[in-house]
Amino acid sequence: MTAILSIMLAVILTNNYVLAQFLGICPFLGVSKKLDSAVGMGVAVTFVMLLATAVTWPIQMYVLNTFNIGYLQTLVFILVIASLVQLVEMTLKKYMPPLYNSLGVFLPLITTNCAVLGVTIQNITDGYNYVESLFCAIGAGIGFLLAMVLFAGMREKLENCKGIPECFQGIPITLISASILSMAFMAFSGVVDGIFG
Amino acid sequence: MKNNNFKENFIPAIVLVCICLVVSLALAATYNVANPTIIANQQKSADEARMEVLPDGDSFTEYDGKLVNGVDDCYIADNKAGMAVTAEYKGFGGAVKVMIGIDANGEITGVKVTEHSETPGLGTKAADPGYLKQYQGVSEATAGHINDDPNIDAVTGATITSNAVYGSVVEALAQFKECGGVK
Amino acid sequence: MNKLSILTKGIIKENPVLVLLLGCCPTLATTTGAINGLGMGVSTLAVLVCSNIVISLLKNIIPDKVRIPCYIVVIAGFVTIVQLLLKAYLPALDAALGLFIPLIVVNCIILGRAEMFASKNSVLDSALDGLGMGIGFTLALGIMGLIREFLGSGTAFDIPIYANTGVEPAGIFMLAPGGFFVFAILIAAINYFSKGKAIKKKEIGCEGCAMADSCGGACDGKEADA
Repeated sequence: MTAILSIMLAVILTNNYVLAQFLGICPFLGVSKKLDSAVGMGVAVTFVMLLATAVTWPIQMYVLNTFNIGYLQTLVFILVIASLVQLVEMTLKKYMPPLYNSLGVFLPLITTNCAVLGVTIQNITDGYNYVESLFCAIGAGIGFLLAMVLFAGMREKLENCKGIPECFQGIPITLISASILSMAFMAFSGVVDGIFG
Repeated sequence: MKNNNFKENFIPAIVLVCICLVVSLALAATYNVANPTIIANQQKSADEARMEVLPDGDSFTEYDGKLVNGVDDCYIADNKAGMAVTAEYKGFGGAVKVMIGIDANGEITGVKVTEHSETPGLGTKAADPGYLKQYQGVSEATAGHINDDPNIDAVTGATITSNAVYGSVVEALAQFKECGGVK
Repeated sequence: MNKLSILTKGIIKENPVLVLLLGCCPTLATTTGAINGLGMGVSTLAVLVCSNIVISLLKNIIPDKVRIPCYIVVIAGFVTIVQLLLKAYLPALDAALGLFIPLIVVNCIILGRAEMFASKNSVLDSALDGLGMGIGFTLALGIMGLIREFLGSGTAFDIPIYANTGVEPAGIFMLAPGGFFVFAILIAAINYFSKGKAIKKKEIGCEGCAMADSCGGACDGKEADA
């Protein structure tokens, strides 16, 4: 139990996928302009991460490792993620139109979100078992959601900011805010081991 | 109508499957060419890392007996010059992994931090080769904390990381006793 | 468009990182040193050129319906080949880049060029386009890496510059905040010297993203542009 909690806290706070490991930067910068779309993207990513891990972990352990074809990992994982995203999209469209309308638009973007492929591969390289992997995926998703929501809040304030030098307007000032947010997250280092050590 | 259906649904699927097959075959071929080199590389870099802490060692064989708590692996030099022990101990940002070389007399020949997530600039000073030199020749370390050992200094401002290195050294020396020296 | 301009446009005018702002993840994550940055750049370049050539060759065979999965399979294949070769012949670089080698698959530059250029142009043009974009990517990563390495550890290409002079390097430039910061300053500098002309986009959005068709304006950046 402590192992699972510390894995989750680590990926949410100290090793946050976006702010410490630079995974999923594109949606982080692209879809964080409004709070509601940031939440939608975050929830969709969390869901796909969990689903992708739930499918790829057994494939790695029982298919790729058994037949000694670990080198097909990247190829198989990305195909699995792409088809999962497609499946989820079709299911939502057919059976849950309201949910599709709020989350569906983000789904195609998720296929090329490196955080999803990243979490599935990292679960394997870190040697987590199935349950740990699932919680790590949820944690990574929550960490992504947290970063998105915090950053969306910052950017809504930035919109009303006056006096930014012309060459810093737009992307540069956004990146500087991201830098400060990531610095704030650095303060969490040591916290997780402090709690569980 | 039927023909159209076939064209629309099956041809794309067949093309995709064919591409997958061709790519997989190409990968299998590359893997067969590259794999022996990869294995040789891993073996070589692992041996080289062990020789950094135990310069007199040549090739190494894994010790298959009991490992002391905190010790990840223990390799004994084939020429009986000593052993290279990898141990880990809790640091500031997570576990600090340290490789320790111990010669046949039980004296430390080298200490190297192999993995850590400590604060750069502060904690990393405790991984500095200059700082780690003080462990050379040490054969006895049993204090519960680095501050309680008069022979070993901690880095100011990075006591936790220094203590993580110290803790790993304590574990490694205990492992040496567990093995009953180099046999 | 003549052959030379296809090659050179990716290096300066449409530099994928500094002007089109694509592939931000590896740009930020792998530039803790000039050598790592260049290594990542060259690996991406190799994948980009190969996948552009193959996709251009197959452009009449691949049915439109499954084109994205087909592109992804081709790209993933080349990425794995690069990964295996690095593991075998440059193990140090492979260890330094780690997870980001398999993640070349989802680098939007590669899928973006496949969708926007290679699927519509001849093999030679596609190869040149891949080469140009790859060189531009490599240069940008090399520059980022050099700046961060110089400020963060006092070295350049692992050669000490002021590392042993008693001046303490600012280690934060090697960490995540430093990555965002250096990238911000680089883009601001380009804005300043080109008087805001180079980077037309004011936000990172769907433009240039291979998924733009299917996402249909979900991106806020695109809405703002329109």
